[in-house]
Amino acid sequence: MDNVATLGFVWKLMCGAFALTMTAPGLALYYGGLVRRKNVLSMQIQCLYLMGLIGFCWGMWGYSLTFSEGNRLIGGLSRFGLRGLEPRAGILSESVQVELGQVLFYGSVAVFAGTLICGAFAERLKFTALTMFIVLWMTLIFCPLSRWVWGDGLLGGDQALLGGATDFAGGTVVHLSAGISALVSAVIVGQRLGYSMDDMRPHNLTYTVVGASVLWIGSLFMHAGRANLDDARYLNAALFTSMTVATGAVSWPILEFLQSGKASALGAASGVMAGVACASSACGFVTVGWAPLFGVLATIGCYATCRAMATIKTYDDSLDVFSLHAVAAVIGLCLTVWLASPDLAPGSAGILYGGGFRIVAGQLCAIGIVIIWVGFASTLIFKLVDVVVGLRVSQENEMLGLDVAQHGQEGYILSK
Amino acid sequence: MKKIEAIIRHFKLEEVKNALTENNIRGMTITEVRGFGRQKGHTEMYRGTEYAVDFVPKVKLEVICSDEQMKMVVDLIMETGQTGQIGDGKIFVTDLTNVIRIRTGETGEDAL
Repeated sequence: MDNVATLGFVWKLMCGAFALTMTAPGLALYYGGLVRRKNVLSMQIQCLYLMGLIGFCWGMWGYSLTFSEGNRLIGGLSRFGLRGLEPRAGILSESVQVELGQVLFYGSVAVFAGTLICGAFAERLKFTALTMFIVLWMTLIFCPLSRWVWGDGLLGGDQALLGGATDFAGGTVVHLSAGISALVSAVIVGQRLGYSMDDMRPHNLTYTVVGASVLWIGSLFMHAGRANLDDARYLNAALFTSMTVATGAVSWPILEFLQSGKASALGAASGVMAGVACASSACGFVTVGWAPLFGVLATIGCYATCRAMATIKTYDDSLDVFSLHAVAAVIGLCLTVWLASPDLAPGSAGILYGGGFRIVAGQLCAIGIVIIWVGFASTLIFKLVDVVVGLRVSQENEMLGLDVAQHGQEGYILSK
Repeated sequence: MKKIEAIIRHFKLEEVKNALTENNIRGMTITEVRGFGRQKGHTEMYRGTEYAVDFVPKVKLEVICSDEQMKMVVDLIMETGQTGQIGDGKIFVTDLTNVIRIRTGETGEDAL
C-alpha cells in the first residue's frame, strides 16, 4: 500500500516538474522572442522571478488557502507554510504523500497561470508593480478560483452551484482567468508608447518557436497530472491534449496560408497555445476522437479575435494573452459540455451523450462567475497597485527599454 | 582616382567580388545596408497585425580604382550583378582626391 502512495507521489512530482518547464524555459522563450530587443531580459526575468515568487506564495499560504479545511469560498490557514506535512519519525504517511504531491503539482499550475498574464502588460510595467500585483493575484484570484473548482468549493464537487464547472485541467482557473486579468490590465495600464506607429515586430521568433515546443511537451504533463494514477483519465488527458495541440499547430498556419498565401512560424506557435488552452478543460471529459474539432475551432476563434483586437488602436494586449487564452478556454469549456463522454466521467455526460442541460447551466454559471470575479478583483488590484507604487515606467525609460531602465543589463552585447 | 559605390543584391556579392579580384582589383569594402528605390518593400503579418517593411536589405560595395580602371569596374559590376528584375541596385561614381596607405604613408594610385 505504501508503494502505491509513493508511486502516486512520484507521478505528481514528475508531472509537476514537467509542467514547470512550461513557465521557464517555455514561456520565457515564447514571450521573450515576441517583445522588442530592448525588453527581452525584462520578459525573461519576469518568467523566472515569478516562478520563484508564486512558488513562495504557494508554499507559504497559497496551498493552505486552496486545499486545507475551510469553507466553500476559501480554505483556512492550517497548512500555512506547509505545516503538518513533515515526516513523522522518518516516515511519511500516505495522506501526507498525497498532499505533498498536490503541493508540487498545483504549484506548477499556479506559476504558469500567473506568468501567462505578463504578456498583456509587457514592455511597460514597473517591476515593483509586477511583484505587488502577483502577490495579490495569488491571494485574491488564483487561490479562491482553484478552491472553487478543484477544492470542492463553489464551482466543483457535489454541492457546486448548478452542478459546477466541467473543467478538468484549468480552462477556468488558468486560461480564462489569466485571459481576463490580461484584458483588464491592458485596459488599465494603457497601450505602449508609439503603439500602432512604431515598429513593434517580435525581435526573435526563433525563441518563440522553441518556447512553444517546450510548452507543448509541458502541457501534456500539466493536463495528465491533474488525474491521480488510479484514474485512467490521465491517459486520455495526455492524448487529448496532444491531438488538440497538434491540430492547432497545423490549422493556424493553414488558415494564414488561405488568407494571405503565407503560413508563418508565429502562426504555428500561436496554434500550439490555442490548442493547450482549448484542451485544458476537455482533456479529462471528452474522448480523443473529438480533439481535432477543439484544435480547429480554437484556432479559428483565436485567429479572428487577434485580428479584430489589432484594429482597436487604444487596446494593446502586447502578446495577445486575452485573444489566445480566454477565447480558446471559453471555446473549450463550451464544447466540453456538449461532448463530455459518460465513459470517462459517469457523472458528467455531455448533451450529445444524453446529459441534461444542467451540465450546460453549471458550466455557464462557472464561466460567468470566473469572469465577474477575476474582472472585479483584477481591476481592484491594478488600481491599488497604481496608487501604491505606480503601474508604468516613465516615458523616457519605456523608450530606453526595460532591460536597461529596470534591470540594468542588456540582453544582447553581440559586438563584444 | 574614382570611388565606385554599388548597391547590389546579397546573393550577387560573391560573383561580383570574384569578377573584380580576377581583374586586378585588390581591395573592397562591404556594408550591409537597407533602403529603397523603385523596388517596393514588403508587408509582414504577425497574428493579424500588418507591418510594412519599406527598407529592403542590400549590400553596399565600395571600390577605389584609377580613372582608367573605372569603366572596366563598372562594366564588371553591371554584368555580374544583374538579374534584370527591379531591385538590382545602382552604381555611384565619384572623384576621389587622395588615398593614403596608413602603414607606409604611400599616397595616390601607389596606395591602391
